Order: sequence, then structure tokens, then C-alpha cells
Amino acid sequence: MQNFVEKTEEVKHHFIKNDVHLGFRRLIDCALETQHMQVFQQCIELNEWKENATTDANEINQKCIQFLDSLKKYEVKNNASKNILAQAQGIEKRFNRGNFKLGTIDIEINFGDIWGLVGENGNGKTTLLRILAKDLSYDKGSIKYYADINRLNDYDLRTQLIYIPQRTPKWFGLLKTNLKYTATHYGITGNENELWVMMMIIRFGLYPFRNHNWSELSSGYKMRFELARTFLRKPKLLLLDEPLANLDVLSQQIVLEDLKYMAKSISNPLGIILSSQQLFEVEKVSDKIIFLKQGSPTLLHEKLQHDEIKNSVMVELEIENNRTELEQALQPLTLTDIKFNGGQYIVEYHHTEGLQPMLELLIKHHIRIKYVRDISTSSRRLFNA
Amino acid sequence: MFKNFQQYLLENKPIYYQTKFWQMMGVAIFIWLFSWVCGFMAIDVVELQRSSIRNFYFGSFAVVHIIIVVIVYVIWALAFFKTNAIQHFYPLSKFYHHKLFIQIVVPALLLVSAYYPYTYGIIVHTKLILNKTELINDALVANKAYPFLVQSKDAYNLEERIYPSPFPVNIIKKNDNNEWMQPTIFYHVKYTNHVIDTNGLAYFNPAICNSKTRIEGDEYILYTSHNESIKYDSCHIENYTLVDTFIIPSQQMVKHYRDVLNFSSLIIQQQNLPLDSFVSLTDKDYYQKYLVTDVHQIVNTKNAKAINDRINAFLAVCNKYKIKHTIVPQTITDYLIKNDFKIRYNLTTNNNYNLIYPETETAVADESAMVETVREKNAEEEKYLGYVEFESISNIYNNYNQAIHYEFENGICWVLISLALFLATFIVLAHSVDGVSGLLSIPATGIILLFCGLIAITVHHDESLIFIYCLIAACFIGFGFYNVRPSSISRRLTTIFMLLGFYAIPFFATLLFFVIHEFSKSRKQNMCSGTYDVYGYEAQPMHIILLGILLLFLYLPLLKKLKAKADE
Repeated sequence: MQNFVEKTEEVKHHFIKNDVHLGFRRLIDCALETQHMQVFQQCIELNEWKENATTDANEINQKCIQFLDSLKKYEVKNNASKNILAQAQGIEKRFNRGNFKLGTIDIEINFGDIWGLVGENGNGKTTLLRILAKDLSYDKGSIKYYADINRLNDYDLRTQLIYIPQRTPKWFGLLKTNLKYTATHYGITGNENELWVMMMIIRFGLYPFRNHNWSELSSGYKMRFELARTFLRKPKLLLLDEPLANLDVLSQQIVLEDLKYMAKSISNPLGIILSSQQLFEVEKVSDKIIFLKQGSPTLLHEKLQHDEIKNSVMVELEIENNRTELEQALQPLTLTDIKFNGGQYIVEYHHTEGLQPMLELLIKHHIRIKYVRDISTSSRRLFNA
Repeated sequence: MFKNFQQYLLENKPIYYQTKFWQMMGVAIFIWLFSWVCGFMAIDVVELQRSSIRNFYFGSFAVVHIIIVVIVYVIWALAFFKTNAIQHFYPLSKFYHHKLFIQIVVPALLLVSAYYPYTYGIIVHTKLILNKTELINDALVANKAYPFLVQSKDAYNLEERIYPSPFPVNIIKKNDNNEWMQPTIFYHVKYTNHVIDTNGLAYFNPAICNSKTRIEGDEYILYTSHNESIKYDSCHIENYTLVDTFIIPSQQMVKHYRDVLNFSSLIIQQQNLPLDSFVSLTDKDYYQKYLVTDVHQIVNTKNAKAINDRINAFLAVCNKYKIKHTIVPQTITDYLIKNDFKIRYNLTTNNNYNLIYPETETAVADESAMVETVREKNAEEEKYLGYVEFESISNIYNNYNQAIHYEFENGICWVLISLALFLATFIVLAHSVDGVSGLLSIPATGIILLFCGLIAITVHHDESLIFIYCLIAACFIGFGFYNVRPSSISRRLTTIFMLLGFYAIPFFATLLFFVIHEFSKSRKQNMCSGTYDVYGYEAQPMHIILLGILLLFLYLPLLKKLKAKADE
């Protein structure tokens, strides 16, 4: 586990390398870790100065580095641990209409874990998230919540299990007012309320939109608002249903990175389960992946332990040549399977050295490659073609 | 400053921020002041002649008030439903729903009760524009002129205008011996534990008189009556004898009665006069003391000037209070003098009883028909005498009396409290449950109530109690679904049942009242008439409302539990 000083040093490195945007977001994370109002105030002032700064990037970097250095004197309690947060055992859910059945689901999520939930549409991702959020009943099995939330009644428990649906509900009034209202309900009152809210607004890039209302925000910023609101609630378990659905490529990466850093917070770690169709992006930040097919789960990390998959290489490939030329080129490899879905080939073969021998063969035979990805350890291999 | 206050509430008092409690209190106080001013402005001496001050609100201002309240609540609802902590599963403070309810019901109560400031505004202005001393003097002027005003705008009583009257107001009977009689007591009043024995006679028969005595020409007949009283606690019957009297008035006394009572009706009754010294006087005393001697003197001397003066003084009073009239005093005076004050019409009755006052049904009908004929004839013949709106004068005095002796109207108060409670409860429910369930619960409740009613009718037992039992059973089924099998029933269905529980609260409150009422009952044994029940507790509207609020407060925490229930 990373300690706070190491974290600040890492962030400083971003500024040294001129990654200002990433650095500043992580700088706010560091400030949030201190949970110190004076730090929040300085951070907000720094942001305002940065927003209005006409000076060059170097000066900004210097200021930020100075600020990060000043944070080192604060003691940050390390709450990061691998303690179990929630445990679902034998969960099954059958719907009266249709033949769909979800389960059996057995998962165990720890503080700081990010679980990715993937699968085709209509295979039970939302159902599983809602069950874990106690928003939907289940027929069999049990869900246990640990830490200090296990004694709470259903309502109070749900204040700690935050479920964000794909289509976030409309809210009214100004963005900042809504965040303040949320914070007040979570016991953040008075001047602290203003500081916490401003920190979250800055953290999620909402500063220029703080006085906007729902209809004035794009879908991406609506999702950022939801995340800002969620983190003000200091959740223990965060369940996100397709949070990347309406985001552009850059925003997807930013949101995922944000989630990763927030989950791994030193002072306030949390568990996150998110469903998404953006497999590769999700896999990059997830500790574990569940693949749902017609309600049945497959845990990717367990599946990859099987011998026949362990030594099998699966590659997603898009070329300009035809299939015959491809098959001729790959003849030296012992191909297990080759499929074409109209646009891309899925090539599977046994080899211990991964993608390297295949790439050599393709170059050797002058195959014109448009796109190639090794999906041997990706949930992509679990999808049909 | 207002923004800062809003900001303070937002950052520190989320419930106050959401309910806009202080803003609504400000609006409510403004509406109270506005209503008071409107009430104050709405009244002048002409308006006071038209209606009772208690009813002015129910004119156009009630409509204005309703429109204002609706507009205020529409604006408020737009702000209130912007934020919803329970919908987002935010932590709720202890007694969240109770606080929410109180912060809604208090301004609601003030907002819907503009009746009171409006009426108080009227009262204050009434006291300012009417002067007590002047009113007393004006009443005397009006009453002194009234015997000579032989017309009114519409119909009028013959007794008020005919001199001498054919029908004395007090009933003076003749008995079987053709003697004048005036009973002093009534005999047919029955009390539950007091039996009056009149020796089996429907009316007094002098034959049973025990004794007679004569005082100042009037003969008093004394006789005994037997009374029986049963004491239930001791089961003891007490017999005792009373001495009652009948008076046989002398001829002189009969004449006196007839003279005195000729102008018996007063335009302004004594009880409406705001004069403390008159309090001890009856109408008759007031009439005799202040009016009758003068009236008789004027009639006897045919003093036209005096009549003119009185009518002129009366018209001055009318003008002062802007009371409409078309009277020309001289015309009336001429009419009275010309007819030698004999403005009476010969009425002949068909009864054979030789009574001055007709007693039989036939005679009464005969009299009514004759009176109507005379009235129509007079109205036509005496049109030219003009009219005055007598009712306007009475209304002024009635309103002044109501203004100085205003009694708080409890009935309206209970209605307004119930309305505010209903409004607040509805808002809290709408805030806590989803809209579709809330709407579905209304017809669902209607169907269940209908079903309960049908069972009650079919069983044909004590219908009201069976109705309540069925309703309770339905509510318990709802609570049972919720608590026993939480996962098997959808949130929507559970919500509908829970709301049914809410709608049943007034019934629960009433039922509880019945139970308390029944518990306070003690049955007492009486050897003479079996058993009888004594109740130690009688319900008051306040008790039922408090009970309803208590039940509502017990019910409100369930909303949080309901919200947390997982969907099916």
C-alpha cells in the first residue's frame, strides 16, 4: 500500500513531466486525503489562481509542487486495507416473466477493489448491480456487508451503497446548490460544506459549470456531477451502471482514472463495481472482471487459470488481405481456431510466447495490418466472435 | 441578506431549506396582514347593513383567498420538490418526517386561516365607525318612531301597525267558566328523571282548584301538582307536591295588557342594544319604560307635530347610516290622523269559541287567510306611504353586538385545522412515495372502502363498526405483506397498502375514540327501571384531531422503511 508521502511524490512527478491536467486532479486527491479545511481552502485558492493565471505552465507547476510539499506535514490516517466490504453468496434471481435467470453469483469485494462487470446487453448486469445495491430483491443466497455498515437498517445501509443508474435522474436547481444540499445531509455543514463542495467541483472538472442547471450540462458532465455528488456522500460501495456510455473517449479515460484513484484512497478507500461495454478501458482499471452470459457469471481471473486457456493465445485482428492469405501466413502456428465476424478476425493458437511469433509471420508475409490486439487475458475472448 | 439566509439554511438546516419554512411563514404572515387590511377596508356603514360580519369572508374574498393559496402552493411545490433527500437515500435526521410534517403544517394552517384576520379587520373597523352612545340614542329614536311607521318594504305584521291590536301578543285565554286566564307555567315538559303529574289533565280545570285569592283585582288560583322524582343511584322514588298558580286577570288588567302590547314589536330589540344599563330589562320592560307612555299620549291627543318630529328624527338616523327609504313624514301623519289611528281591519272568525285568540286549527287557518288578504290589500292601498329598509337597521345593531362580543368560532377552526393536516400529510406522502403508487392508492382505497361497506351491509350487524373492522383488517393485511414477506410483494403494491393505512387514520382515530368511550362506560343497576349506562368520557373534536396526529406520527417512520424496501 502506498503511503501519503509517496503519493504526493508521485503527483509531483506528473508536474515535473508537465502532465498538468492529470497532476492537478491528483493534487486535489492528495488535498482531499488530508481532510483538513485549511488545505481545502488553499487548494481552492490555488485553483482560482490557476483558472485566472496568465503566466506560463512552469509557474503553475512550481506553485503546485510547492503546494504538494506543504501537504507532507499533514498526517493522513491510512485506512487502506484489504478487508472484506461485501460478500454475496449463492445469489439467484429469476424473473416471473420470461425465462431469464441470474446466478448463481458468488463474489467478495474488498475495500479499494474495482470490479468490472461485462457482458452483452440483457445478460443481467444491471440486475446484479441493483441486487448488490439492495434496490432489487433476490430469490436465493445472501449478501453480507461488513465494516461499520453491517448493523445499519435497510435505509441507512442504502445511504452507504450508492447505485448510479445508466440514465441518471433529472435534478433541479443549480449544480452547486444540489451538491451543497447533499453534503449537508451527510453532516457536512457550515463553512466545511462550502469547502468540500468546491473541492469536489474542482476535482471533477465542474468549476466552470458550478452555476449551471441540469439542462445546461452535457451527458458527460451530468455523469461527472453524479460522481461529485457520490463522493461527497463518502460511500462504502459504489455501483455504477454503464458510467461510460455517454462519454467521449477522453472523458472515459478520465472518469476511469478518477474512479481508480478514488477507490484506492488512503484515508477513505471504497469498493467499486462498474458495468460497461468498453471492455478494454474497464479492464485497465479493474482488479477483477465478471463476465455475465445469460445470467451466468464467469470470473475472468479464475477462468484464465485453466490450463487450456493459460497457454492459449487469442488475437483480435483487422487486415486488408483476404482470409486465404491470412491462413497461409499463419500456417506455421498451430491454430486452434480462426473466426471472422465480417470486420475482424479472432485468431486462437497455442504458444508460450504470446503475440510475438504471430506478428513476425504476418510481417514476413506482407500482411497489411490495420488493427491488432492480444485478447488472451481480456474478457473479450469470452464474447462470441 | 435573503441569499445569505438561504445559504445558511442550505448549509446547516436542510429540512428548513427544503420546506422553505421561514419563507412560508413570512408569506403566511403577509397574507394575514393583507387579509386583515382587506377586512378593514371591505367594511363601511352600508356594507354593515347587508350581512353578518361573520359571513363577509364567504363573499368574494374567499375566492381571492383560495386563488392566492393555490398560487402560493404551486410556487412552493416547485421549490419543495426540487430537492428530495429520501428519493436519493440521503441520511435522514431523527424524526425527519415529523419535522417535515410540522414545518409544512404550521404555515399551511396560517395560510388557510385568513378567515380570522379578515373578520378581525372587519370587527376593528366596525368598532371604529359605530359609536356605542350614538347607537343607543339612535335606537331610542328609531323605536319611538316605529309605532307610527305603518309600512315596510315587503310584508309586515299587522300587530305592529294596528291600534289597538286585534291580537294581543301574549296569550290570554278564557277558561270553561268564561274567565280570563294566563298560565304561569308549562306542564308538558318531560325530563328523563323527572315526572310531572298534572292529575291527568291536558289543561287546567278550575274545578280542582284548592284555593283562590285576589290581589289588586287579579284572582290567583292556587292548586297542587304532584311531582315524582326517581334517584337512580339509590333507586328511590321521591314524591313531592308543588303549589302552582293560575292568574285570572281583572278586566282592567286585560285592558292594560292589550294597551301595553299593542306596539309590542320593537325595531331594535333590547338584547341588541349595546347598553349595559339595559341588560337587566326585558323587551317588555324596555318598551313600557321608554316608549309606551309617549305613544299613547300622542295617539290620545292626535299630536301630528309630535309624529312628524319623531319620523323626521328617525329619517335623520336613516340618513346618518345611509339607509334607503322613500318616506315623506307628512304623508304618514296625514294618513294616521285621517283614519283616527284606527288603522285596523275588521276580522271575523268562524270559530264558535268566543275567544279573542283563535285556538283551533280551523280558526288559525281562517285567521291566516284573512291576515294575508288584508296584507295584500294594504300593501296596494298604502304604497304611496313609502318604505324604509328596516332590516338594515337591525343588521347594523346585530353586527355591532357581534363586534363587541365576538366569540371565537370553533367550528371553522376545526375545519381549518383538519384541512391543514390533510394538506401537510398529502405533501409528505407525495414527497416520500412514487407518484404512480400514490395515485393508484386513491382508487384502490375507494374500492376497499366500498368492499368494506358492502360487507357491513350484508352482515347487517352494527354497520359502522363492521366497516371499521374490515378497514383495519385490510390495513393489517397490508402491514403483514410488508413485514412478513418483504421480498414477495412489489414496492408498488406495498405502497398502496401503506397509503391505505394512511387514509384509514381518521377511521382509526374515530374507532379509538369509540373504544375509549366504551371503556369509560359503567353500567349501573336500578331496581326500578333495570340498568342504565353512565359514560365518564365524551369526545371533543380536539381529542379526535390530537389522536389522529398521534397515529399519523406513529405511521410516518414507516415511510422510510417502505422506501428502503427492495423492488421485486
